[in-house]
Amino acid sequence: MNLRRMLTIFYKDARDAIRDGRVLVAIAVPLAIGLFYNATADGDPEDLTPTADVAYTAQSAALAEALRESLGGAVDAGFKEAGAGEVRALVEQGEADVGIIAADDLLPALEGGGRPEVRVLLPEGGGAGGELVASAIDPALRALAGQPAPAAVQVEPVPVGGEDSADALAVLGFDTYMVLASVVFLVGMIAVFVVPILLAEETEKKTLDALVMISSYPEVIGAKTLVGVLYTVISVTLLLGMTQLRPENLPLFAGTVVLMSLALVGFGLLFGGFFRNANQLNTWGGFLLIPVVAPALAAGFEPAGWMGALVAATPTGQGMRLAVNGMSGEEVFSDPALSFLVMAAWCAAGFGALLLNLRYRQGRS
Amino acid sequence: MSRAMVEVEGLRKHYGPVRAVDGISFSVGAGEVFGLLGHNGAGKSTTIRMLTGRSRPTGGSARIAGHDVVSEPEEIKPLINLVFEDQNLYERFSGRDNLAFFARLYEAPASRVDELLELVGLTGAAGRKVKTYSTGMKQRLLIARALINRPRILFLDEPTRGLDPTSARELRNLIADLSRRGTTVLLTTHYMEEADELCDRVAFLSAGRIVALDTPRELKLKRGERAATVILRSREEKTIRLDDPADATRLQGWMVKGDIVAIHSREGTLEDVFVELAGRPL
Ligand SMILES: Nc1ncnc2c1ncn2[C@@H]1O[C@H](COP(=O)(O)OP(=O)(O)OP(=O)(O)O)[C@@H](O)[C@H]1O
Ligand SMILES: [Mg+2]
Repeated sequence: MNLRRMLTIFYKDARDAIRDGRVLVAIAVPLAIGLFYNATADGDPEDLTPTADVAYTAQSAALAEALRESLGGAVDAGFKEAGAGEVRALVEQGEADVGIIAADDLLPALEGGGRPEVRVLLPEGGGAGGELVASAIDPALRALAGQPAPAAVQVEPVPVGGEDSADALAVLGFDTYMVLASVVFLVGMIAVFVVPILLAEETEKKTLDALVMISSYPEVIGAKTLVGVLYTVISVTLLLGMTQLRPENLPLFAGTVVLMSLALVGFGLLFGGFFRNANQLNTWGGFLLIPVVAPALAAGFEPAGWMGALVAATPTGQGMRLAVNGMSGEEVFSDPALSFLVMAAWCAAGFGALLLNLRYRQGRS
Repeated sequence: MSRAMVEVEGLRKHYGPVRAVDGISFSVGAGEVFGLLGHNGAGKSTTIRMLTGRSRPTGGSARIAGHDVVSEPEEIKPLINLVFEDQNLYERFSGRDNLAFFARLYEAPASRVDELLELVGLTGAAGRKVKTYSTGMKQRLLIARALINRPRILFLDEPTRGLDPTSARELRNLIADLSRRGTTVLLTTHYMEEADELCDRVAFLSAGRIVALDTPRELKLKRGERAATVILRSREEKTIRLDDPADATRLQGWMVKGDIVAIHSREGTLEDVFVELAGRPL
């Protein structure tokens, strides 16, 4: 293995490949899909904080102020002052989740020990936000009347349906998640499509024979692998740039993309070797992409059973987990070390099988 | 021709039941031009593939400049080069870029690129993409590429195929020149006159075996008819046998009378030898 020769071939391949229309299309498709999802899918990460719009009359302004303070961040509440009739109309039209109407000026009445009447309007079948606001009214009134609160109540919204179901989607939002899936698609396209096309073309046009007159198969393979990694890094950077996403943990994200690329390129080159020409590969390569992309799509939904096993056992399933962690900067998926191990194992298996296959073919040529 | 640069001993290559090369032995001395001749599928290219390390022999041995082709390929690689049977060039690159790439691989000086473009007459087209080249231009580029590392042993698989007569002659001159300067040449060709003109010795392959191996002259003399055709003033054609004393007397008689207009020797051509050995014409 001569590094200088390998880099010479790498430089040649990197320049040559972008002139191949098939290569450009293979990279453009996942880029376009990523952009499409980013532009059209529902943007924000799933916000678990309930919201409520509160309408109140001028007489109940002190109460509204007290509510705003006591609710804190538990409810994302918006307040609007209006006349009594208007408050009712807002609730009826669904514009407000809570309506508060007080007869007299509330604060002096409370302080004076009177029992002022407070009417709370709640729409039928309203959301959690309105209920939370309504339940906070009584404590707020007590505070205004100078009565000490019997306890410090903290309201914490808790997602339902198990500890961490679909955390990835919740943390990143559907659009960002789909952009990550497009990143995996991109890595896959380059590994099982672009790089094998480069090799199949050298075999088909017999330029490979001219190369090995001085170079060796491992050098050629090494050069093609480097081209795959280079193209992957460039196009993933492009996709993130165009979607204006920035991984919170860049080293983790970049390392994941490179390792995933390596884990797939070995197998891509192995399968590429079975095709006698690049067009055959163009025709059948699409099928290879299904097992590559499916685990990545599934990973975020944390499937159970065989799908779960598939995610855990594949480089793209594990790669997606790490990519989610890297993008969010949080350990959404536990056991990153195991994820790296699985990808590294695929990497070793791919290139090991490739070298064995090369040795076998050399013997038969 | 001091020591052998190519030594082949009982070399075999079988593809399943197909015996592409079936136990051939020969050697080529330094500076010698050696021709491998034979009909399509005789095993010429397979032999070259094994000698250039791209195909593992089924049996026998081959040494290039003293190195075994199977166990010491890395020692051999820098010493040899090959004009391929297929025009395996990078078509999306220019002629110059093709040569420059291989110059870097072989660690040849960059100046060698322009030198070779000049040598094969491609300087004017050097910047054009190879896919726009004619067959002959590609062939010339292929030849230039094979010379990039100044190989001590040059293999050429049908090098003049696709070349016009002028370019073919230029290539033959080039090969003769290389040989004079000490390059060992092993070539295959289907043009018998070319083999006759260029080769110090030729081997005839048939179905993977060597059926004859000698200098072109010896082969022609051995196989050719030992006769001559005499054309007389009367425009009569007479055949005389060179080993018949009676014909010698007749010839003398015509000469004395000044009757002879021309004498054509009936020495065989290499093509005659080929047809006889290979059993069918090209
Ligand atoms: N890879 C291979 N697999 C199977 N058979 C092969 C292979 N390569 C060559 N052969 C067979 O070996 C025999 C010799 O082929 P080879 O290419 O050496 O012939 P050649 O003398 O160069 O012919 P030509 O003059 O047509 O170039 C042929 O019968 C060919 O079909
Ligand atoms: Mg041939």
